[in-house]
Amino acid sequence: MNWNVAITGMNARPDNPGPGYPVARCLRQAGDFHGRLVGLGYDVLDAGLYHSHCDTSYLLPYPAAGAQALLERLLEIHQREHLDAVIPCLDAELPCFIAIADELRKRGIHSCLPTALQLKARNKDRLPELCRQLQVSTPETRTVSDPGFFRLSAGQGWGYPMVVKGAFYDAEICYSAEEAEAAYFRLAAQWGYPVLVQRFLEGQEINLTGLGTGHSLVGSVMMRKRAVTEKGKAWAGVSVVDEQLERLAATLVEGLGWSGPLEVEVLRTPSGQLYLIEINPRFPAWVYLSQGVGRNLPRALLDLMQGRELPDFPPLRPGQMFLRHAEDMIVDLKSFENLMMCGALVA
Amino acid sequence: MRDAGELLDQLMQGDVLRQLAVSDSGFLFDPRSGQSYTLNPSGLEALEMLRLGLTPVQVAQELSRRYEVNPEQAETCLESFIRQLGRYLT
Repeated sequence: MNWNVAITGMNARPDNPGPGYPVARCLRQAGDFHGRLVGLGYDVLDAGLYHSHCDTSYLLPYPAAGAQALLERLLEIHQREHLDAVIPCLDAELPCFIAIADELRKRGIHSCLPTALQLKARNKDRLPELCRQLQVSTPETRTVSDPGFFRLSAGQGWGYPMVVKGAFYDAEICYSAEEAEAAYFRLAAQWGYPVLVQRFLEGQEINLTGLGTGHSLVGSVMMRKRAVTEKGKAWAGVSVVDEQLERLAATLVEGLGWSGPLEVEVLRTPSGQLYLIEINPRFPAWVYLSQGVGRNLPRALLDLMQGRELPDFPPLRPGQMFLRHAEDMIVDLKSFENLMMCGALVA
Repeated sequence: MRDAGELLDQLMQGDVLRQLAVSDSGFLFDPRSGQSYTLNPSGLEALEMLRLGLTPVQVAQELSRRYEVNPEQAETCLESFIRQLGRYLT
């Protein structure tokens, strides 16, 4: 495989790293991948852009600039890099990538993405409806447009703790009206409206990542967090086998007709019931564990894009751990300048 | 011992005990939950016997013999151990 593959999500802040760098790492370590990797990011301090796993790196316009601006920028990059595929790794950019997928495909740039409708169907504010249709349990969720709700919530059957969630990303467990109000304003400022509240459930969080082929789920890898950052992101985790979770994820993929990578986050309550927390439309930041258990999902994704038959995945291997560590990279001023002034870091 | 027996039946029927990864060092990994635990030598022996399908009464008798304690004491300890298994593994 000699494809030139562009990967977004190269942000790598230790408390909340993006999936782009681990995706690049998976491809680099796939024995039969000999192509070039192009890192795409939004900020000159997206650390993955400077890592040697990326042959070259470029800045993109922020998603708020719209699909046309993204297309124009990608075509500029394509002229220099002759891209064969792009793997978007961030939630907020997915609508734009989906909107331009056909245009990219006409120019030989493959991607494997859900449709805009499928993407919307798993939006946080629509998840309860999806779960109702597919008969999957999920904690009760509602949208909040008035922060006064938090003072009066007890009267409406919403006691504390409760989970306050951003429209695209981020969530906070709040134990009082004051905490919830502060979270509401922070999340609205960062991710826009609506802000959601979800009933807090006690339980163990288990996550699954895999690939949707449009009709079935393949390559499941499941993980339980063993240590988290202040933002609740996995800092250490261990692979597990949970057939109930795999069945649930398969139901979602089949019900949605999902294409491409996804992450399914669930909570197992002490009574053993699984509750769907969310579906993320991309690889998770812990996707390198897929390489660790012999199911290199980013590499399999390229086969899926090519329409090739996927390889037989080896049996699930529980008990493989990952432990993150933060590492300083030395970046020379010229590289930083190139990215900042030209939006490109070309070796 | 009857309650412990029922709890053990649940663990066996759910295939929970068979799926555990147990090493000679007493390290125990539950592949379903991702949790790991440590067992002392008598706990390790008891778990291995239970996984082989011995009944709680048989396991208690064997522990009583190996550790030279009276059967009632072995039964009480085993009962408590099975309750712990139930608490952590279900």
